[in-house]
Amino acid sequence: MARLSVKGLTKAFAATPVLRGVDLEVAPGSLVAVLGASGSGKTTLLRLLSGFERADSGSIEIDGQMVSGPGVHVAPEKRRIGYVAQEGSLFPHLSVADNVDFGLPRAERRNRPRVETLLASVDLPASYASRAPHQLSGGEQQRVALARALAPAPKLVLLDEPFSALDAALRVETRQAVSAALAASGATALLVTHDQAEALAMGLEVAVLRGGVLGQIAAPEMLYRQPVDIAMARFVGEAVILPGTVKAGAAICALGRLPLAGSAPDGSASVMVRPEQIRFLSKPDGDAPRARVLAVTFYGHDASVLLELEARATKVMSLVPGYRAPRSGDDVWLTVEGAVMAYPRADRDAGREPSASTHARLPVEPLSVAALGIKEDLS
Amino acid sequence: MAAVAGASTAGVEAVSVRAALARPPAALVVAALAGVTLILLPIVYTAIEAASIDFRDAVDLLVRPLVGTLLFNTVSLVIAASLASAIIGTAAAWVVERTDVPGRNVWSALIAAPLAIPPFVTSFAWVSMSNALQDFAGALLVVTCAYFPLVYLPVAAALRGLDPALEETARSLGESASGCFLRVVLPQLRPALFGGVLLVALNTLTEFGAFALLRFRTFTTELYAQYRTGLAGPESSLIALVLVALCLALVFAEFRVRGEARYARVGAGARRTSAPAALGWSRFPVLAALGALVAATVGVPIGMIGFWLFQHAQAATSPVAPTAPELLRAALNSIGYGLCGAAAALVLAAPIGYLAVRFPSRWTALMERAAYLAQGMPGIVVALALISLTVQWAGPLYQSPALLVVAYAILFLPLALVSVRATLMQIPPGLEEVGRSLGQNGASVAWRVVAPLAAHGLGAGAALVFIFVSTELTATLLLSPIGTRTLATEVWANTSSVAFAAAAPFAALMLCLSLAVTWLFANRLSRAAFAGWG
Repeated sequence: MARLSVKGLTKAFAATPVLRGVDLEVAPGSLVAVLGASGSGKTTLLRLLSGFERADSGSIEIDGQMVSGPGVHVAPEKRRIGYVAQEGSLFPHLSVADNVDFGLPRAERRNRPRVETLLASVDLPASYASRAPHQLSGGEQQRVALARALAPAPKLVLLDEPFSALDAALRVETRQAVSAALAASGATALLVTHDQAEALAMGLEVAVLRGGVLGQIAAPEMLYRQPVDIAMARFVGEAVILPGTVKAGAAICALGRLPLAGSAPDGSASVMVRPEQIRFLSKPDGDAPRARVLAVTFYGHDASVLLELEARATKVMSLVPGYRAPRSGDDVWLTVEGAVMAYPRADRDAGREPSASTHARLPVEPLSVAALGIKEDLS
Repeated sequence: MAAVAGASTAGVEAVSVRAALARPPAALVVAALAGVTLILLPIVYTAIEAASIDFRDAVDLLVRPLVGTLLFNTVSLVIAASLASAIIGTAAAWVVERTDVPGRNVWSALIAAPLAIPPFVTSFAWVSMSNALQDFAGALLVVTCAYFPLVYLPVAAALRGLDPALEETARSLGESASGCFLRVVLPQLRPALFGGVLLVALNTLTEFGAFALLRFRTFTTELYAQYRTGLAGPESSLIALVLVALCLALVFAEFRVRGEARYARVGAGARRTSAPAALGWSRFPVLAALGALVAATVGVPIGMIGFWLFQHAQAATSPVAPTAPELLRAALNSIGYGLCGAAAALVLAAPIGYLAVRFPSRWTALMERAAYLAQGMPGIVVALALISLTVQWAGPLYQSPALLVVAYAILFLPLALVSVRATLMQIPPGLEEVGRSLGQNGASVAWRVVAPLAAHGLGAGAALVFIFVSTELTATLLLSPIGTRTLATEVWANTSSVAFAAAAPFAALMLCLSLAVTWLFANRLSRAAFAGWG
């Protein structure tokens, strides 16, 4: 177990800054997911941590020992950092057992019980030891790669998009096996991914890398429910943004008067509601706004519904369980479950609709299968 | 969608920029620079030597009938051989790859086979068959027979890689079969065709043994004659420089075509192959033509060697019969030098290739290019430069086995480099990084990860260099230690003295050696040799 402490890390390639000052603390035994779009510098961050690249400035400390800093650059092989690459990167010329004990001192290699224990820790049978990497499925290769990384008892394990090469079904299963193995080993881990769902599901904390800095570091629920700004809200999930005002601790917008999740100053604001918070009532109830269903995209387990609020001609999107999908042309009444976020707007913007307010702008990678269907609307 | 595409492109750029800025290990840089310096040494020396001549004298020496004749002979032969190879190679490739001619696999192997026969052996075969074959016609026949597979192989590979959908589209737009070939197929073959033709031209420029046996005067034979008659000096350097200039022009042209070829292949990736054209009755003349081609290019050399093997020594003009120990000694020398030359070329190529693949930058690319310049170095020029250099500066090295191995390393480094590069490209850099993160230092990763993964590819590259070194004639003739005879020099000496029966067993052994090694590594060799043409 080791504490990872990163301060003011910067890195530029050919005058193009990639990291502009990354600060990150990872508690011993914790798993932090670093979430970022393609090209955001996630992989660069991992390569700096593991020592494959030199940082321009800033420092990296593992367990209080500086491995990278002014005038200090500890070689990758001396850092005791396990690394699991995107494709697993198993040595194709070695058997599973030889892969797993690759990083052990010479005397401890060929230690069959040790290999079997490590394989068991990633949920693989001992009989796999003699197999060649190409005889394994993608998910199994990733598990062997993790066992190999854990074998020399590293202080820190880095995982570079370890599940992105796997298909959806295998991904969930491998994710669980990897989570369990990491937790059992007690190693501090940093997972890098562009997949929002993966980051939210795996990280004890999620750090969002954008513009070369970590824009928000928070527990998954916190990040999703209380993103620091609208861009962050849209990046970690789908969001409905409505113009409104904040008054006495509540947001007032086209959907009514809604409780706030975080504090916001009084005045005009953009109100952020997650589509799944918007629920339907089949008959009028109090001052619930009435809306007409414009379009329904049915995915099976859920359905996304495009609605037009009658009173204000404003469009919003809702995500409902599939069995409750309404039909196009239906009239429904809307209610919002849970608290919402409000972000202050400058007054000159007050009269203007926030751009793309009807739909959540999709992050570069779709959040779920459901999101794929509305891609065309957004590009 | 545009945003997604843009983001992923940015990611790719980031990767290449990252790779470009990582610092390569100093030891590797030193090793690579040493290799490049060694390669450039003969070229630079020749240039300096030629520059020592007064400018007016130089003009006088260059503008005279001898140089004119040499230039005319060489250039006209290069053009004729290139054209003949282009036509024969492309036609053969089309027939084998795109028609239903019977026995396509057998033809494919037979048509490529002449590459395993050194041109001076082909020359020996034709000369020993008839005295009539001399001069331009003989030279054209021999080099075309020997080198047309250099066009056939890349063009056949390109034909295999073409997307049949393009031809089908052209046909559906109303184009006839022949029009479709001219307007759709041929333009796509252009990079492969030009690349192959340039290789033919380059090999024709630097060929020596075949022309000497045919008494056809080119720059190389003239340089050899001047050296033998003790006239070598600044004047020879001047002629050598003209030859090198011609070669370098071709090498630079090849660099350009190679870049184009790579560009043309982007996104081709067609898995489907088009339906072969039905030949119908015309398959009989086509079969006859293929048969004649193989008879001339493979049949004649092997047949003539076989013929002379079973002739009594007296049947030839000079009655000499080699003894078994002589044969054995020559074979062992060829094998020994082949192994040493292959090892030396690989050792020189490895750091250059590793830097070029793992640390791509302007500097490493420049080093790689400089190494490929050796392609444009005729063996005779390298040998003469090394002789002058050692005589002047390093006496003990003159006529030492070590110097001969150095010459081989210089001459065949480009060949070794191609396979080093192709092999390293196939090893994901991530594997080396994972090895480092598991606590292994650079040397340990090189030994436990890179070496085992590269072994097969480098072995094939070494085999290829071995074949070329063990059949090399020019540098061996000039640089071999006194009394050292190899299979190649024995074939040469006996053919020169018209002792054809005596030359035959040496030639036969040499062919067996090179065919055996080719057969052993057949698959990998073709991949290593034509990695750039895929």
